[in-house]
Amino acid sequence: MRSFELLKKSYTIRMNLICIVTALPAESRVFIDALKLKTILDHGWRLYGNSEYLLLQTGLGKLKAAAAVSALLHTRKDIRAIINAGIAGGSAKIGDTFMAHQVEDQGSGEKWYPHLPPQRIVNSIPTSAIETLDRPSDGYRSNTLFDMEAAGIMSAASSYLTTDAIQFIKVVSDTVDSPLELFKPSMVTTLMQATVPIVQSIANWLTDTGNAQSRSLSLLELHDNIVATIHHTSTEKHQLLRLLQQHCALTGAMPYAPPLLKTANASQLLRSLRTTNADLPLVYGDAT
Amino acid sequence: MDSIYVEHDVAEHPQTLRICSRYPKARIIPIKRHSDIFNSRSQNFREQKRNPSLILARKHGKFIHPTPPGYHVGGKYNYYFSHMLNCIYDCRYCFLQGMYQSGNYVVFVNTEDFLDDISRKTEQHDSPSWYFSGYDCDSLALDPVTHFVNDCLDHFEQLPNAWLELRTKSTQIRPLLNRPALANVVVAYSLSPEAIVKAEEHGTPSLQKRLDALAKLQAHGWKVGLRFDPLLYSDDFEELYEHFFKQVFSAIDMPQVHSVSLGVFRLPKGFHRKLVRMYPESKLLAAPLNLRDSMMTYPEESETAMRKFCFKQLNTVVRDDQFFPCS
Repeated sequence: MRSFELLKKSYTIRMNLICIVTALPAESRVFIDALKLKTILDHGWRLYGNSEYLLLQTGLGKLKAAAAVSALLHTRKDIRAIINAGIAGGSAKIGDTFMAHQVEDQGSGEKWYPHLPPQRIVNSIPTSAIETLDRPSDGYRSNTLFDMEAAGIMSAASSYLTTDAIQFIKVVSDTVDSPLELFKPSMVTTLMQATVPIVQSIANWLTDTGNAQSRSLSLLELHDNIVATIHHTSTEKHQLLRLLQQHCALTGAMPYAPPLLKTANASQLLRSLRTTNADLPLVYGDAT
Repeated sequence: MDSIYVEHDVAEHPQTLRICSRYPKARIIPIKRHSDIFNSRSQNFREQKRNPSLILARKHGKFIHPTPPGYHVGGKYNYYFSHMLNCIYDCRYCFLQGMYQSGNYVVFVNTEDFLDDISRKTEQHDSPSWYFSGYDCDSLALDPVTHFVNDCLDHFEQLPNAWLELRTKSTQIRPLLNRPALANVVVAYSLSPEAIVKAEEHGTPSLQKRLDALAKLQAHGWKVGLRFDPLLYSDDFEELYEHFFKQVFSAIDMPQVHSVSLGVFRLPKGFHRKLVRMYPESKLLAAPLNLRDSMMTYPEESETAMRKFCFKQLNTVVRDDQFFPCS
């Protein structure tokens, strides 16, 4: 259960893992093979991973999907994004691949809108609304795909991640002309092959945007180093972080660490940093 | 524009069709109400600023609102309206970042309803009423897409008892230069020293480009306004702003300027907290700020000194009847 253990709260956790979420073993297979994922957990939910990706296989249905995603995101603070990949029913052709521009839970009517990546990132693949059903249906409609997990995943993940970091890739597996009863499970792996490069492109985009927005890691490391050396209350930890940020903003550099680490206690350290910051110049470039 | 969300209600509106045809490759995504997406939780404002979507919607309810106290340039009746929510620019001090969950742009395509409401309100007053555009957006920056300015000017041309202020940092002035100037319209530019433009007003035209646009508008006969708001604190404030004012005064025909206003940086406390979370290492937010009258702003002593210095500078070229300090 190591990967579901609560990580120690730290400001320096890198949110750099992309978690692929699937429902079925046949949906997982292509990613396990293509990304060379190793088993991390194999009872209850199945979890696979490498240094860049996790793959969470939740089982069928939105409740299982929501429970698994929520449990994983609650314990793993290093997950940058969730990408749900799987099969869906729809009125398009079998094998057509879509990203979700809207996810709707048919039961509650609740809707979510993932913030889509730029089209150049995903090779302009089309988008569709996804409606999550509680049981399989043959009520195919145009411009809507049916699945059984997306709303559960979105509902759980949106408590932890922003809507740009929760994406859905679906391949059409059954249609009006080829309904569910004609569907052969052996087709799933073949259909899912098309999603692998899209998932990887989205993952790269999410990693890049995450890096662009991440806080200065060295500053956060200094923060963690200080609080590991000198006891700080929660409030003092926040105050320390803010003072370090202000120092960086005003000087473009970190404060010199050794004297800070030798300070007797947190309140003395904070007082000293406040005094230092107050004396720092605040100027905008060259006046001329 | 990669994605355009379109309310069902305006899917066939001529403005919607025109805007969508401008982006033939965009994903067109139907939605019920713009608030479903614009106000939803868990959005990443920073990412949406980098990769914004356009939301085309119908404005319902009230189209124009009374301005906050102190927001005027001498008129008795003052209103603002927002044909658009959010701004294409990325100014670190902007209150819109604190106000909205989303970095996407909402454009209300039913311009005709705004203009009808302006006419109705104008008829209720015996003296001229003022309408300020650019409160929740930049008035000109997205005009190549919205074509709002021309529609608005056509309307105000028929409303001599109403004044329009277009507030902007944009150099998209072609619609203004392509027609004769109107006597009841002021094009007001927000101006800051170039060092502040570079550091805090991301994506905006440089100070020089704004001054060039102002000069062209003046030469074309448009009334222009200068908005020195917000003034930002710097240790070399006097040197920075003295040089800045000289630059402005030498580029603009100051006696012909319609109005000048000035205000010091201030933000509601909650908005300030949100900005600190988004930009923890911003210089602007590292300045000493105090809570006064539920606004985060500079200590009173600094603010007074900043205002006093600017009043003195402006006093040399700005007449009393041109000057409107923001409270």
